[in-house]
Amino acid sequence: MRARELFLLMLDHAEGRMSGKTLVQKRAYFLNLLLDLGLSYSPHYYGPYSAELDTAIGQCKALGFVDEHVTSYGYVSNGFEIKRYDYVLTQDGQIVVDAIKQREPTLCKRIRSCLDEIRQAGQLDYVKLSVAAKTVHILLSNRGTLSKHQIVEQAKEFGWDISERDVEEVMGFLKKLNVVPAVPD
Amino acid sequence: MREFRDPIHKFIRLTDFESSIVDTRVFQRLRRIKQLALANLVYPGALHTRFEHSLGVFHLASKMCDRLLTGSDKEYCELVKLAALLHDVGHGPFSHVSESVLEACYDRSSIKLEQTEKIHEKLTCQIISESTELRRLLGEDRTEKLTGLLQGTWGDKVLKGIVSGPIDADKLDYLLRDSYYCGVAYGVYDVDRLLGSLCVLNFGEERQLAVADDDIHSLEQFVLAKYYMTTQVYRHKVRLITDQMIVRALLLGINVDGIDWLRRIYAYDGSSEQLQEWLKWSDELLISSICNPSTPDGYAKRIFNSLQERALFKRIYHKRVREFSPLVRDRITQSFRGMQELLEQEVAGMIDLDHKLVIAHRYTIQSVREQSRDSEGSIMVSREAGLPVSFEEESVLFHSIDEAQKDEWLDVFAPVKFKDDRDRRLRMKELDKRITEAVESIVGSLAEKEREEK
Repeated sequence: MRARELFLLMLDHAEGRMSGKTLVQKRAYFLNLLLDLGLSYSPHYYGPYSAELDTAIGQCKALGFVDEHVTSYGYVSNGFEIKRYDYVLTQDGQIVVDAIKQREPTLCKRIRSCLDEIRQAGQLDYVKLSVAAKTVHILLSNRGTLSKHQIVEQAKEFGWDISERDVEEVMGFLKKLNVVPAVPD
Repeated sequence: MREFRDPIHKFIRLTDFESSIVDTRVFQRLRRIKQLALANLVYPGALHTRFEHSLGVFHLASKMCDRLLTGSDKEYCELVKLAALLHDVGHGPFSHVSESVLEACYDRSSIKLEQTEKIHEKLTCQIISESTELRRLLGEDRTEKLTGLLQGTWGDKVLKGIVSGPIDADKLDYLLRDSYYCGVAYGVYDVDRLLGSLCVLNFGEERQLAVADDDIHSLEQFVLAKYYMTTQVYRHKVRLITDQMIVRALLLGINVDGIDWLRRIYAYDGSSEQLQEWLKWSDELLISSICNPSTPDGYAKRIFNSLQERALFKRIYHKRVREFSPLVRDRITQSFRGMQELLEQEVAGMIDLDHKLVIAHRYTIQSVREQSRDSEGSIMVSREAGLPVSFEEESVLFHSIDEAQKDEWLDVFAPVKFKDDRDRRLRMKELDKRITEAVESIVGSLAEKEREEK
């Protein structure tokens, strides 16, 4: 499945609206991880990031499948997301989504149920989802168990400022998704 | 020490060692590869070559190294400068235009590419590795690191960013150089200010190239320059036509006319013999060989003769993809290749022409490669207080330019002749309607066929 189709299906699942680029990137990160969809992610300043997905978002805007609304919120204390980018599926986008569902019914069902699973694992906002993605990225790159302290220390190497408490808060979510090994205290 | 006079950078100074690299045959060959293929048919001054561009990239990479590589990093300066100097040695006739022919014709059973690897990058690195002269000068270790840097497999993000990235030395040079030789001012930006704004952002143990926030306007000026050059020069209507005519002529020459020597040029298989073959060719040699009386008559000769006489194909259809219905938009932008030939056949029927001479071409203002790898939006802007932010978030201009660049178009080119302006207007209006209907109908029947197959 291509990044564009994945993005449109994610929007459709979210009832046509998603708020924040980080949310889109990180939700797709987990979807990609669970279903092995082949999106390439690399560590970015704000966590794992897919340039391919970002390009797909740009294409969807250019083709009129998605509207983007930018809201400025000024500076946040931790320097996170100064502007919020909201994505809304247009009527044209909905036509394309319906065609994808008709063309790939099985895969679309898997994606929907996986998105349900992510939602049921915990209603994380974009900041927590970002911490969760960073934690997974560190754990998977180490191919082994790390303590919360070690995770926090390794995060610093990527310039990611997370605390042990942040890691603790997302562990329940990650355990439910069964994407990482158990993390000792 | 050797000095080259250069209209863009005034003096380009090379050490004796760097100069000996310039004197190798593989580098001197770049004097025979024009930077912008046949853009001189639009901008008569655009006759500059990959040779002087490579020197310019070397010069700017040197300046970037002086600014960004300090302390123990200084040991990498030489490698970065050499990588900049040699980054284009793999270019074939007509520069980037050849790449799509190479892409279509290389031997897939011998050459396996990594996921993000491009065939022309592989070829460039093989040329550097296998050139006897270069190997003797560079030695094994330096050759390995240098090719690794060009392929993105060696070096940190700062070193890579100087050689290949959204604000690499290549772009910094080609905008100024192409602008100068085309005789336009669109590509001019304040290079000294931009170079002065570059800094290294420490990213844990990693580092990356960034721009200081108080100099963000110099980056905006650069982005605007790139946008204007792309719309006015690189994606100029006539340039798109000449590029597509070259690609079509070469592919038809190989696949239909059966010109065996032409096939051998592009059938890259990784062998030393094939590499030697590739290195023999230049723009002029290829044109004169195809147009030579000893080459059998055929499509390639016919199209290249037309190019020589500037009897160019006409753009008979030009439509923003967004103007089609949603499913057509989706199909055109995701799997155009699957419908291209069908569309060309349909259009050929409308204008009573051989369908091989009708070219349907889908493109964006910005190349796909730039969208995914080289977008300036991802450049980090370093701030004195707080976390760095991306240029996309910081710049008021970037967003609208970036959106405009992602617009996609569908064009059709063909060797038609109009009696006069009135005839042109009437026929274009009729073709616009009929080609649009043909596109919708082709997409509809392809979707139907796929449904039946399922």
